Amino acid sequence: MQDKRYILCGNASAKGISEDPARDLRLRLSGKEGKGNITLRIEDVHRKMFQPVPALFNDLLEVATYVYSADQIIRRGADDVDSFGDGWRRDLHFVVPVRDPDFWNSSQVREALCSTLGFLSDDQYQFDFVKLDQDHPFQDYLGFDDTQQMYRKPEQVVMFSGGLDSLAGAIDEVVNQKRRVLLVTHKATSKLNKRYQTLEQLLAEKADGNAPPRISVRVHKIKELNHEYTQRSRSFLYVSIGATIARMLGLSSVRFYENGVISLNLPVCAQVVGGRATRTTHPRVMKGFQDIISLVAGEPFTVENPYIWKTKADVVKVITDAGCHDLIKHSMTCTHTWEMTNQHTHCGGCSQCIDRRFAVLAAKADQYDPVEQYKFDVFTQSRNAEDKKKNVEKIMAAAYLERANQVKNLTDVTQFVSSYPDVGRVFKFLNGDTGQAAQRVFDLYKRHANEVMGALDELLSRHSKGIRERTLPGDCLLRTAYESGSTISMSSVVSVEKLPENFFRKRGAVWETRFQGRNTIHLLNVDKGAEYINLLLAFPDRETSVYEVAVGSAVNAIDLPANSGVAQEEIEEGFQVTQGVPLGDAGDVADRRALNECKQQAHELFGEMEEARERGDHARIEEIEKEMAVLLQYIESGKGLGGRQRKTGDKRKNVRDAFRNAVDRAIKQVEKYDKPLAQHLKDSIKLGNEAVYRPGMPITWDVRPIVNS
Amino acid sequence: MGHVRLGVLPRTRAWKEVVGLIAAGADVSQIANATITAAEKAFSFVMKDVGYTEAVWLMTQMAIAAKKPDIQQHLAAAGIHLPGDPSLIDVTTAITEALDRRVDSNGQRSDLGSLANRAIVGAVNDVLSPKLHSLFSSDPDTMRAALGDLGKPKEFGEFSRRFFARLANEGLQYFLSKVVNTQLGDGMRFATMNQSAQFNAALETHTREASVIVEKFSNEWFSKNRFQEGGDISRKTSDKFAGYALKKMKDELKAGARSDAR
Repeated sequence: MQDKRYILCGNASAKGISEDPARDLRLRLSGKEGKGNITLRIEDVHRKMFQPVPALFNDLLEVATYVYSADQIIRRGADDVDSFGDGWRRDLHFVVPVRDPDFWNSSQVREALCSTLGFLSDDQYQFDFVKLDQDHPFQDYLGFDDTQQMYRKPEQVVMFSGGLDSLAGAIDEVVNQKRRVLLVTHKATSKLNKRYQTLEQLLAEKADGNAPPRISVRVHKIKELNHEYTQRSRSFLYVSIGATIARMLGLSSVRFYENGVISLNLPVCAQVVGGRATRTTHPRVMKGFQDIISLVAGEPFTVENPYIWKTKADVVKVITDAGCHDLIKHSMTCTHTWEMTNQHTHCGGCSQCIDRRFAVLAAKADQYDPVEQYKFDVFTQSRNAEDKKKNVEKIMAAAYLERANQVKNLTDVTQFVSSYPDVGRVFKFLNGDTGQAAQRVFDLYKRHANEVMGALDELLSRHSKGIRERTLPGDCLLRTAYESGSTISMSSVVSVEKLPENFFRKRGAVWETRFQGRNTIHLLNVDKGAEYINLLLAFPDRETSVYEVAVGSAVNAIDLPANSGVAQEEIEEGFQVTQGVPLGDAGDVADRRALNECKQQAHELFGEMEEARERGDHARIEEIEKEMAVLLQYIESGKGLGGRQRKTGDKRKNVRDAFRNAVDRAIKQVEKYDKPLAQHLKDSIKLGNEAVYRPGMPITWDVRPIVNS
Repeated sequence: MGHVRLGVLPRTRAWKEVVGLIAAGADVSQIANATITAAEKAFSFVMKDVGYTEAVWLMTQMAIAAKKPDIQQHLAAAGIHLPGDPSLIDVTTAITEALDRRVDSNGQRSDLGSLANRAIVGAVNDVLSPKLHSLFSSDPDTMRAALGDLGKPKEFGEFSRRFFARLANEGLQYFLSKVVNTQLGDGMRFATMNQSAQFNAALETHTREASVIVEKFSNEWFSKNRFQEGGDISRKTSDKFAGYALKKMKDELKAGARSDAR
């Protein structure tokens, strides 16, 4: 949890409350007049609708606006997982001036607020309510507009975001049931204005004289205050406005339309815990809203979600069955509004876009939702792992599909609860006993899973040629979902192939080792040391000059596609060949001609060394070692590896030290994952001018590299 | 609405090694080991995490309640409020509520607490469901007998093993789920989603195998401490157990898997 932040609202004093005034956030709310840093505007209110509302509703609106604003201003901190989400959660202490502090400070109200908001946004809340010194009339927040038709009083307030679900709800109300409803829209960005107007116009045409009036709400903050986009508390503002308008109209309920799968929003993967998946219309939140508003109203008030038992595909079918399919393409599901352009109205990769794509396919309505309006086609386009954003999209799409796949394979509700324990938070807030609620939720998710899988099957069928011929990118969702769509990959789990008891070898660009039949381990970032060890293991009990090893290793790297550290002629039986994933090569050589000359020189030195040894000419051996050290330095710098000029002095010592350090580093890496092997290497490898591996027991190592065919 | 936000792995050398090992084709036991090493900072939060210690406390209290004259009364005192004739769903829901109440009242929500909640609910399901005829309604005697069984040291060992196996699996997946899916595609570690699913299943098996060591330890610990504390387990003792058991689990995962696991 982050350190506490105080949010001082209006003219509320921090005296005696805040410990560090410099960190306090001061928010001042104003309506059409005033100089606050945040403004609340409820627009397009028809004068026929207007009625004064009780002061407590005015307070509610202001409290909700302050909460929503602070939510967007105070960053969630580093969103890394290394601290189990410590930075994700904030500790927010509000000091809010209200008209009736006694009511708001009552334990019942404070508890309802803190509990509901805490669950909604995953933050810690505390409220101190103080007496408002200067009243803002409710009308200050209203913008009147009498141009909309308003023949009769609405009988229902419906929250209208412009997404598929709320669009279906509006159609259900005004087209199917012919009810008189008032739509309330929170305009988070002016980018969507035109689309709202289009939807409004089309809905009016379909409604045949029962066109619903719409009220828009905007909360504006000065530019410097926009930091956090997650907006988990948005629905509190939304419902508070809806409830206030309902109260103005003498009504005692508001409706959200949201499909049950999104409302419950069970995690798509283990990392999604708490409020990382939105709980905007979670049944516990809806009940919390209802409790808060009922307390404010002083009488029962209902907050409903009539679509809690529908999937998104069901929702799409409501639209098409009502003959309103032409509205689908104008609805707005994507919340990445910053990516929106006239051409691409949806990003295509966020969880909402993915859900929408599957839903319209499952409802057989994708012809009404042109794929061209998605910036990214999650099914058929490559998701480049280098692109951070597409990486997230890739993860999300795979996780979404995998969850559906898992749910589809669950056979009973016990498995469901066991696999998704978070679902236990919802049963109590659904009507009926917990067992029945659990079964209904399971049925809902199962139906959704079947729809997703059905949609996937349909897509696989449509793109079978592209999959078969591999013209679709190898990492697009369809290729990865199609089991036989790929032929090359490393095995995901320990291979069942018969492995040698002991090996220390390079597979592609990666070193792998196994000792005495235990688990295979992979070694990263210790290539040089692993290469030296590999060479020593290849020739047990043979003392080898470290200079020869180092130079031999360096010159081999010039030619070998996957450097094994073993000379070409010594692995005449050939490399081991894999049909698996393409293995990396050893990289480019800076100046091949110069390096080839080095290679030639090295071979000459090897020959001279051999002769000097035969003669017992130690002075010449020392000279050759020095020449090898210089040669090695040249090759290494030529390859760009640590290309620093070494200082003058005994270069042989540099080579010896580098050799020892490289081997030690590699053994240290081995020790992290296989202590017996590390100990064996420590005990058996002798370093110095002449390095040797003396295992002291019969042991055969497979050291041959595995390369591409 | 319906937005999902994923966390980010830090760019430390240790985490880069985890990512590199996954990409390189390392098996689950090496990846689990590397992950636990990389997650040292995260684990330093564990013993201060109210959600985790409370989950372990509730686990011990379910076992202690089993030998009390009024099981439900003892559970209620521990925060688990059950209806008259509880079903399995009622039990798991009550555990979640008890945990949520505790972390809410302490202002200590955390990801680890949520993972511990998932682990205990899953473990309760695992140990009770085979003993019940139905998830929704059990005759009171069957449920009482099932809850009563949890008081046997052997049963507590099993309960504890399942809890720590699930916690370890959820914990590892918490860190790895994002990386695994970035390695998805032709020519990458997991060419198909089926392969990444196999990897996840292998990781689950690995944590289940590693949890075997916790079973025997928990069995003996429970027997000894219940006797020493006169039929109860104090919070202090439970917290110590939470520390020991998690350390055993971590050490086992770092050492590699056992082959005699179920």
